[in-house]
Amino acid sequence: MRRLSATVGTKVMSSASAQRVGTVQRAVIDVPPRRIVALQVGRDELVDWQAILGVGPDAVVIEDESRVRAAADAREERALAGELDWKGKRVLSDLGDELGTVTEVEFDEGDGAIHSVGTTTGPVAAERLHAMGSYCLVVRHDERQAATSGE
Amino acid sequence: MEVAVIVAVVVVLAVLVLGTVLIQRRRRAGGVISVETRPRARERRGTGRRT
Amino acid sequence: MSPRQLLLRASDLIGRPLVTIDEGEDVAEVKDVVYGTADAAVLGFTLNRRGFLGGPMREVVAWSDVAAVGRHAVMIADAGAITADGDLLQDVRASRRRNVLGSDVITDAGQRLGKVTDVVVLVDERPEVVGYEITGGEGLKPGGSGRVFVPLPDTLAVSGEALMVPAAVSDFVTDDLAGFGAAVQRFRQHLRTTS
Repeated sequence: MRRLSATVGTKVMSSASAQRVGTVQRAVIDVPPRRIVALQVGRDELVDWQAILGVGPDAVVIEDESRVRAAADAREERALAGELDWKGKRVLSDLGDELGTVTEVEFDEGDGAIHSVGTTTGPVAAERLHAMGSYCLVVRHDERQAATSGE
Repeated sequence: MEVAVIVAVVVVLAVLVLGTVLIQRRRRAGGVISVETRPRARERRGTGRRT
Repeated sequence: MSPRQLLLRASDLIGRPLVTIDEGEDVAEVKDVVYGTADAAVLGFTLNRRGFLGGPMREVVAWSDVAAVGRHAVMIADAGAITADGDLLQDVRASRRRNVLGSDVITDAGQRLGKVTDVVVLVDERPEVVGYEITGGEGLKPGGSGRVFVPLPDTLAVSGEALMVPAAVSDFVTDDLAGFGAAVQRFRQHLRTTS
């Protein structure tokens, strides 16, 4: 399990050339399927998760430079523009109650699956993640978290 | 002379901004509207989703 | 989702964002709360565009298309819930925007209780208007604040200019919204047992 805040900022290396191709700037996460589908490694540059060989504490290693690509659809463009950034995003339950903001994302470095999301009112398991938009992250209502959020 | 022109421009702009703000507040102002409930409208309420 | 009850002021709902559950986007915000005079049922909301520069929208959202009303947002399944046709829009147009806020409240004994400054909505599976917040009434000041909550009967008469309530309502006035739900219940029970 790895924290997204620790992975953002690490260098991205090409396995084929042993050269640095960029730095992890943000993750593109789709909900569903609740996993990292790509990493932004440069100004308008993405690498699909499938092209990533390893995510370690010091570097992210990809197959080779040719796997670096531009945004392919509107959602990816919005992600690169920062509209869908997780950190600091408002968290809203499907009942319409705010549950603070996102502080951290924990993911499986093997397959990119989101394990849980840290918020200012406590962790949210991946199963509760419903949708991510520019306004908020929608999560399924949970009685226990509703109680701890001081409502 | 130039000072007077600048002051006049600033005053006009301020009035425009203030007017826009007031009009916009009025346009957006909400309330509670009561409507005559027609029978068919009430029947449809049976499909209302729970919260 | 578990059903639950929430007692809200209409003014708390006004300005609240409409958020799509499928995309997490704020597509509109509540402008007016619309309710039917016959049974005080909340029928839906008229809408403003988001942001201070956003004006009124043609579209409305009917209660049947609202997934949930929470403490911070009105949730809809998707953007298709807001619509520019349907019964609600016709009802709103026919009403010529009859705003209850500011109306006089008069008992059937002929006493003016004051002006409506807010409307209390009980949100559950079938949300309804259960009371008014009234300001400026004489002899209706349990807390001395000049602002009281007045429960509504199950049925009520509303004209364009005034709201009629039974004189017995004076005994069920409270200045505390938290205890207001119980006051509504007692008042309605009282009306049933005496009629």
